Amino acid sequence: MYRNFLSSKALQPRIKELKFSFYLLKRNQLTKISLFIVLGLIILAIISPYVIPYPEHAQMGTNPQDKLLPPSSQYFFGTDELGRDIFSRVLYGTRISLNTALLAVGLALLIGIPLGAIAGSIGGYIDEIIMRITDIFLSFPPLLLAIAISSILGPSLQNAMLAIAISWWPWYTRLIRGQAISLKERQFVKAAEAIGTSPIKIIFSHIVPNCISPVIVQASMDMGGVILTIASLSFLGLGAQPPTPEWGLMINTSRNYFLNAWWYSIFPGIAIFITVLAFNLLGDGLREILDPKTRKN
Amino acid sequence: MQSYFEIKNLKINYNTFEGKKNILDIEHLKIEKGKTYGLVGESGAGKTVLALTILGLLATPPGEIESGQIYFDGEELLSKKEEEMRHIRGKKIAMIFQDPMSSLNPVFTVGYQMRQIIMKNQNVKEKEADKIALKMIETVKLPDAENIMTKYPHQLSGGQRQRIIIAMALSCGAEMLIADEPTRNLDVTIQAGILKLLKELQEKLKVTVLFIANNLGLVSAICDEIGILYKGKIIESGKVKEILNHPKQPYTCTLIDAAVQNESIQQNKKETRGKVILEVQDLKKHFPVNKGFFSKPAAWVKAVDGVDLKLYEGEVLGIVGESGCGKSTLVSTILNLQQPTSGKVIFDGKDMYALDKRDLRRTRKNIQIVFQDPFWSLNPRMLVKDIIGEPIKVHEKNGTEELIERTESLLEMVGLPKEGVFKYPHEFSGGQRQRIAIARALAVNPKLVVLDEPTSSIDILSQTQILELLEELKEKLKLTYILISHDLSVVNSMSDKIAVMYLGKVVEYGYSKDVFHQPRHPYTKALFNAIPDLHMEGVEGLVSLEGNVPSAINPPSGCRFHTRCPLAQEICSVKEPEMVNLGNQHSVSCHFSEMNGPEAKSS
Repeated sequence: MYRNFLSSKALQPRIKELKFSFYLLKRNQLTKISLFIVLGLIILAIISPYVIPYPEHAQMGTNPQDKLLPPSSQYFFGTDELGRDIFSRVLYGTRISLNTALLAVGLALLIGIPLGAIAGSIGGYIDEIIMRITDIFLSFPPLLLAIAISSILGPSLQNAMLAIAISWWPWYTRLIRGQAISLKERQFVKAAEAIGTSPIKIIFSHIVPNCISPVIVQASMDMGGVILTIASLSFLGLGAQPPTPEWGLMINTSRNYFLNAWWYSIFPGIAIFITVLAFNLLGDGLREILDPKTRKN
Repeated sequence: MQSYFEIKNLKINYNTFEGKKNILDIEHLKIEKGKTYGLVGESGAGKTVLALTILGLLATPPGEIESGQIYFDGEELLSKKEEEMRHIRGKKIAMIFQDPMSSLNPVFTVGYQMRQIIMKNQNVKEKEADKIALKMIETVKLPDAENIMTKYPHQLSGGQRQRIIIAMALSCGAEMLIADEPTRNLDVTIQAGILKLLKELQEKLKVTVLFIANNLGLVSAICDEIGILYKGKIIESGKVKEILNHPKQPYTCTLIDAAVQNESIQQNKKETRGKVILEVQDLKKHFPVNKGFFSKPAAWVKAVDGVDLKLYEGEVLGIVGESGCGKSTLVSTILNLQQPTSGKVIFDGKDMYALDKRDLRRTRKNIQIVFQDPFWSLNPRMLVKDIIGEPIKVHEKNGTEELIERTESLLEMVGLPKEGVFKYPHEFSGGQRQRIAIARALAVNPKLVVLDEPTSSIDILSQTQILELLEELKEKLKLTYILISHDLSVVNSMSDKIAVMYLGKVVEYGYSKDVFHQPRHPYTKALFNAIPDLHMEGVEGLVSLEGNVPSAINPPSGCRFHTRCPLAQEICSVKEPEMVNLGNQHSVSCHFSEMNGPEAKSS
């Protein structure tokens, strides 16, 4: 299978598809900008430990003699109450937020997609059982559920991530199930059944690949929401613990100094804002590419 | 002197992924007032683009009008502003779409929608508007107009909806109708009714009609003039008779040939008999209606209600009937894609419903199916090699290299270049995709192939080619076919035996030459005479059945066809006719099959 995929002939049509996607992408200015921002954020997340001016400030290091300085050429975003460079910490925070959000959404997808596909394609009692379980999860507001779970698991970034994954997967299950139900009546699924393909193979090679696009769209939009939720949990003290340079945590600590040091809360806030907005716009653009129905001319 | 409707030097380009493409290039097209002009072309020839351009509805971008003028009633349309067009669109020129459902709002009643349009266009009060609407519904020959006004679009059948659309167009006083394949999604008997109606309205109200179709037979029946559209250009135009009798372009000839070929009756079908390969005994498939999680179903849809069939090796069995008669349910039940309600299917000596899962999968190797719509029957995310290779992977263990070779040779067998294995299905045309579907069905050497309307969603030229290919493969690979279609001519050109289905029951069954030359059931006759003939002049000869196919939830008592049957008498609504054998395996279920003898067949 793998060797097969790598053989150049089989790769070519896929490259053509990709080119077509880029063609569609290029037509929408907002999507293009958001893609650049997201790519920039990802690159930043990877290289931030090596480029920030004060790497030690993102870790345990403190610098009390320079505490709460306004933005200057030495400290672009100013410093916090322990004299740490906020610029360094905000940039490093990208790494933490993206990493956690990616893992949380990934985990949610890993649970949500198979369950939804199975529920939708097989139906009957299995469907009822899976969907009633998701209903239980869906009956709580996701943030509230995440707060409850992470306070049970204990405050830490990993637990916050787990809590988010647990409260997010039912959304994907529902989405995939709806798609799968309409797909299983399609003729190519009937054809595969008539050929004698096993049900599991039908689910994973016919149904899942064809209903994945809306999920990708949803997931990229959720990235923004999840980053926001991580920040919220950290803000409430349930996520990252000091001295982690997490955006939400930084805003939380900044509350005490808000009147005297506006830069302390503003810059992490802007970082959250840009990230969430970029992911949402990217999701919108992806929807246009992946779902021809919503495509504008 | 300018004609009523005239197009000059119209050039339209489309900006696509692969660059600019010229899709429409019409030098000249004119229609006189009160005439019907038929535009024939394959899908992708630019027919719909033309219709949208006339109405100023072409999406720009990606479309782009390079040059040209469209004159209508002395006015140039292309230079008009959107606001001015809004007065022309609907009021003077109305369009009838392929799918009537898309032009009716599903949340309002038909009457409400008509009333709104009339009130807006004619500045009248509600009561007055209602009267006009009623009159219009009667004009389009819908019975029980007052009742229809209170119905929602989904409660009407396709044919009724299409009539409502026509009524709406006329109620605004439209002088020109653009009909974009208005009968494509309709059954033949309903189609005949719509054609008749259009013709009549055109004569009575002097409406000008631009009739767009992909089928010469349709157009020749109702049009005064026709134009052949090929790759965006009108390659030939003129009077219907002239073009049919003296075509100048080779493309026109192939179109005519294709239409004639479908009509020709194959006489020399052999009556050889091998062993029985498939036997269906009293098969029933009922679907529950309104079944809740715990509650019992409120009613049953009797989609297939007691069907007996016998199929010998090497035979082709054609199953015909209108949509909703249970053809497709019958085959998917035979294939055990659905559990039957009762009955037995014996394939190759094995009871299909008694097999366990593994045996069933193994048996399926021998029964393959080709679906109606090649756009949905191929997984859009798979390469052709994976699509055709799927049954091979399931039933045989094979290396990758060998698999690709096999798929390549299968692709060549169905007449496609072998390079196609590394392409996605959407890169092929409808006919080519159907070939891929056939290749997949034949990949594991089945004994029986079920063809579920294999040609009904592809262009007429590809249709004949596909039928020829199927015929050829049948001889070469010693296949047995079940061919399902609502089009008798397709079935006739291929099958040895024909079963005509109506509302879940077989009403006539026999060798195709018997059924064709001496149809005994009135329904078979109606089906047969509903298809417009290439050399038919006018629409008088078309038989259209009144009413709709009744619901299978509550099928009519007695003979199920009696509600629409021209011969119906009292006994028909009381007693259900038995299958009567007329000899030579020709059997029919009708009380009047005797008096409805061979000589009664209309031409």
